[in-house]
Amino acid sequence: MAARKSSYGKLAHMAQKVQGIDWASDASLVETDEQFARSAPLRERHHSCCHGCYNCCPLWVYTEDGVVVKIEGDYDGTLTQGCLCTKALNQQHLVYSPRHVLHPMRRVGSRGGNDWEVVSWDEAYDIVGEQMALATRKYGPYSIMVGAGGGGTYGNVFQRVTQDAIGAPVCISGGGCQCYLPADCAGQWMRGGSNNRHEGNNAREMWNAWQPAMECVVLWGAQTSASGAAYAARANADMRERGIKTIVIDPYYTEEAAKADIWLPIRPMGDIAMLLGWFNYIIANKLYDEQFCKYWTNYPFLVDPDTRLPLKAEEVWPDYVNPSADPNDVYDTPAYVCFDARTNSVQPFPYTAPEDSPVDPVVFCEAEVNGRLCKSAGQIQWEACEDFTLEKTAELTWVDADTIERAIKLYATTLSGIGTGQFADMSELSSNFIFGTMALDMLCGKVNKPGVVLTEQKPESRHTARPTHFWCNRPYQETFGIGWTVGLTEGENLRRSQAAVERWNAKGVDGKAKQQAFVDYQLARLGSLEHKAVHQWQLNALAPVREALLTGEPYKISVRWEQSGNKYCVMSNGEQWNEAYANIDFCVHQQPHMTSTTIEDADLFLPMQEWLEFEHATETTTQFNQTFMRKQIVHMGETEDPFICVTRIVDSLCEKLGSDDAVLCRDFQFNGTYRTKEDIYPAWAEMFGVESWPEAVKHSEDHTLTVPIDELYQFYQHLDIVDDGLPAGFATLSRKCEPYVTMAVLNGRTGFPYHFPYTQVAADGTWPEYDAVCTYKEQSENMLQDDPDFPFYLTTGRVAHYHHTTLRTAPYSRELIPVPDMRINPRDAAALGVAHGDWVELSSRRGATRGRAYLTEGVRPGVVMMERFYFPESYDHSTKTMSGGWRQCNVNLMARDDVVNDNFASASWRGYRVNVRKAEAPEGLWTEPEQFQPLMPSRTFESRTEEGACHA
Amino acid sequence: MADSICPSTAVPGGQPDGAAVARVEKALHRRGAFTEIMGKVLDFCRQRRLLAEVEDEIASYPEFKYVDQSQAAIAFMLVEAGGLARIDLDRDGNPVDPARLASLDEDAADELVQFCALETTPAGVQVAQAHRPEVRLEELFARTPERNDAYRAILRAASEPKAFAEIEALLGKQLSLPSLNGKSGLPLYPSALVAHLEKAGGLVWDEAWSTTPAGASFATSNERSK
Repeated sequence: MAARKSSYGKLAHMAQKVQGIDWASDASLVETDEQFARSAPLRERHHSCCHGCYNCCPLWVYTEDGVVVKIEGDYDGTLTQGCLCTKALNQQHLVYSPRHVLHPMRRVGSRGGNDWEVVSWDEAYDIVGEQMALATRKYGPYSIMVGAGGGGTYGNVFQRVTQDAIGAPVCISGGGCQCYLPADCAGQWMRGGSNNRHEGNNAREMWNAWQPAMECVVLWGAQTSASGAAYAARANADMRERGIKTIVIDPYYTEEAAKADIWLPIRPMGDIAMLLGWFNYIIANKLYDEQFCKYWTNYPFLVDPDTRLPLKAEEVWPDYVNPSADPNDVYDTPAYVCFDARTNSVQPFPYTAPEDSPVDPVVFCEAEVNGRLCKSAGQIQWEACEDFTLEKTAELTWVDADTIERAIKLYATTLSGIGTGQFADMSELSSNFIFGTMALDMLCGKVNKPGVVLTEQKPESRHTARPTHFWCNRPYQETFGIGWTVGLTEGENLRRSQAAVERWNAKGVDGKAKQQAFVDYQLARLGSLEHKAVHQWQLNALAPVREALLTGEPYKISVRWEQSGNKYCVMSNGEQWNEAYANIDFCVHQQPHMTSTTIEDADLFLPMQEWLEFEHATETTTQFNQTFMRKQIVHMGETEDPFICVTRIVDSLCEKLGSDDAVLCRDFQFNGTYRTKEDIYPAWAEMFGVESWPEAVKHSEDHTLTVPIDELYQFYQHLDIVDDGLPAGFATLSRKCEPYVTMAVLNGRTGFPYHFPYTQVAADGTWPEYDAVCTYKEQSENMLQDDPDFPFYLTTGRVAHYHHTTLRTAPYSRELIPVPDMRINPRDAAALGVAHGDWVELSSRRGATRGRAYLTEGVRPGVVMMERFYFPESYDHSTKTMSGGWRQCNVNLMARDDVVNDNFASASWRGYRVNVRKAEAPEGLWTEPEQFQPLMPSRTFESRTEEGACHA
Repeated sequence: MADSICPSTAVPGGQPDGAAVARVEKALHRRGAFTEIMGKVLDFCRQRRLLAEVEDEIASYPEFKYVDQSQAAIAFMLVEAGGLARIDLDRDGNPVDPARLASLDEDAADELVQFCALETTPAGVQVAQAHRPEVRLEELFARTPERNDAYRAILRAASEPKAFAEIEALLGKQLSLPSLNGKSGLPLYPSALVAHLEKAGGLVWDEAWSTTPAGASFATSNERSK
């Protein structure tokens, strides 16, 4: 609050000064005729929030006669306090861009060309419905694949519920497995809640300026200032001003590293070694929180060496009666097995408040249980890190041991926590990293208390019953009877499953058959047998999908429904995808702007709304403690709301198939989409507590939902005594934090919790064994290897100007960063004969790209860094090819997806060997700011349709 | 209006270079839905054809019912790729000298050119040859002999039009045959076999799956599959 007052204070001071100037006296006003007076443009101000990324910064939009002329930040934004970034400001240039397609377009001519004709929406829906129905009739519903995007201009809920509705299992995303999925799983599996990412409104304590408690934050591979320039960068500055120490672990000298108290310039992808070094030091020096580990984590549980699962008391003592068991068999509160220090023996370890515990569990131990030597989960964690002394850690991470020790001590001895970025998601190390960082905080008891990262917010995070958790927010268990609600007993989960079957039966549908159809559809996701956590987000591994398109196996994919920007630039193996997509019979692409994907592959283009056109109440409209109404301020041509578009397409598909019953579950789609605005307005009105949404949204600034700061920050929820008389605990399998990730073991074994009461196992009965604790691993291509053909190592990062593949057609952003930079150490550059600004070619074992050398000491010798999604997207008649530049300037042509993370199938968009040589600029691409003139905004409501029709 | 056209002037027997063939191949495989149509058109135009004839021919293909571009658009994709040669004709059906055409203004050119004919180029002929259903089916049956019983079962079943669900019922929802896509972790599904047969010219979709004449010859013949 103090910060906000300060902002208003500055404004008030300015206003007083302005009023003091004698420049607007009555005498300076002159008479004019009424008609002239009326001819002044109608100036209006509208409140909304940005959707240039997922951070939803609140803002004001000014229009003159309905045309947007200015965007500025809203001082009432709790975190932004009036700040905006270039992504938000560039919305004007996107919405009025000559490249913003305003009418549905049908291709006339061959793929790879850029010739289109305008069709009506009715015609467009008819074509898509017909083509999807044809594919369904010819090959079944698995023949429709969906391309999903990240949390940028579009959300991704509507893609998933749409898949569920039609029963089409193939969905891929350049993000997904490579972005946030591992953290989402880790938060839910390890503590039944949020995770340690700054995205998604987690990890907010470091920005707590109201009751500041945090003393130190570790920013591990987290470019918060680049990701959230308007709110995180500003809030980070406040955070530092409050005296919070920062430890930054990043191979690149980021904005955060530049201001860090301790920067660990780690060898790229040496993070797992670093993590294990931290585990080792903290355990060896007893810097962990022993009481928390004993009673609020599963570290003391003895683990069955054969199943790798924590032993349950009943397995060891069949007659054991669990005192905490729910007599009604609804809520699950298991008792485990530990080595008890009081009796010096193996004992049952029932769930109780710590002070009522009958045992004093030992965290690090091994003990004989029924003739077998069983280790505690803590012991397994210790053995994974036992070798990682400071010296060894220094040797593997290339950071000196003293600096590492200083960082660990600062972290371990202060109120602190680890906030992570998603760098490791884009690598083979994704599970190791997220499990490790979450577990470190748990080991140190940095959970649910002031001053730590792992907290839950809002009053609804308090408990009156044993907390439960379903793995996504969609009603799979209610609708199909599939999936396991954590916190409920097996009996209750089975009852819920059966109830769903009976609900179908009551409607005259064979419920068991419907359930089986749903499970079959789930299990048909490509690569999910090896990488079972992709089910968390209904995804598929990438390489098997590409292979399916190339081989036509294991089933035919005929129609591609692409709902993201440009797959060619956010994924590896572009040339192979190009060949693979050619086998598709029909491709429909929906986006606000055409991209290389449209040019290469689409047969029909459906123009979506930019966020200034997009009215919504829930699609990413929450920032920190505020939820905003997103208002439609302008509407260009015939652009469509993506939620309505996907619904109309499924409507058309059902109509062509003759019935809603011809798809898996028509109505499931409405767990996220709507057919018309009128259908959804009542729900939005209820959410915002207003009588009429259409009326209220006219003054959206009056209806921001704000959680008072006092209520936002909540702590110690696990200690709430709930209706069974026990502390609430966590919504996990054990009711405790699970740094030993039991769910990962179960997931590998059967696909649990996604398909319960069914299982996913290979035909030969085998399953993958996923690590339960952070275990040492290096990227397949790493810097420890001697690789003379590819002597450099590539890491990637974000720049503040672009989000994913968006904004490449915003001319002012392109003026700032017209071509991809390759950051390189001056010593390496000198050896290569490369000067600052020279063009270079980078090549890996998979492909090559070009960029302009940017010399900096911010990367160590041997390392090069590029923006992770750079591509030019500048196709035009003035360019030599119509590819949009994805073949010339696309860092991901060098990336790989053939070796992926075990759990999550995360591909490596960073962390591989490359070579660098001086080169010429790529031909036929725009590289200088003045060349982006064709992208300048037109500020007209109706684009040059004829031009758009021919040269999107 | 010309109801017949002069004979081909293309040089027969000339061996096309690999790049030319590759361009035609790429055009054929740029969009799955057009592949079969284009292959048939290349075969049909081995003899020079008026565009109107080509359009009528394409319109008779079952595959054409389901595509979203015109016959001419598809044919001219092949012209662009060098698989078909375009020959402008005057009102008597005689080829117009391209040099003369280039010297005329737009109105005069329009007046002169009354018809258009298409003829498969040597590169197109080579692609058409490889695209013959018999060739493709032979390759398909040779590639994975363990699947041939399943292929034959489908071809026999589709001697009468069959819905996909009927074929699925015949084979089961998943087959015990391994998939070539090992990383998928899944066994083969019936749609893969159906699509392979379609891609090889053995099955055609016309509101239901039907075995083509070429497919029928593989439905029973063990010899063909050896």
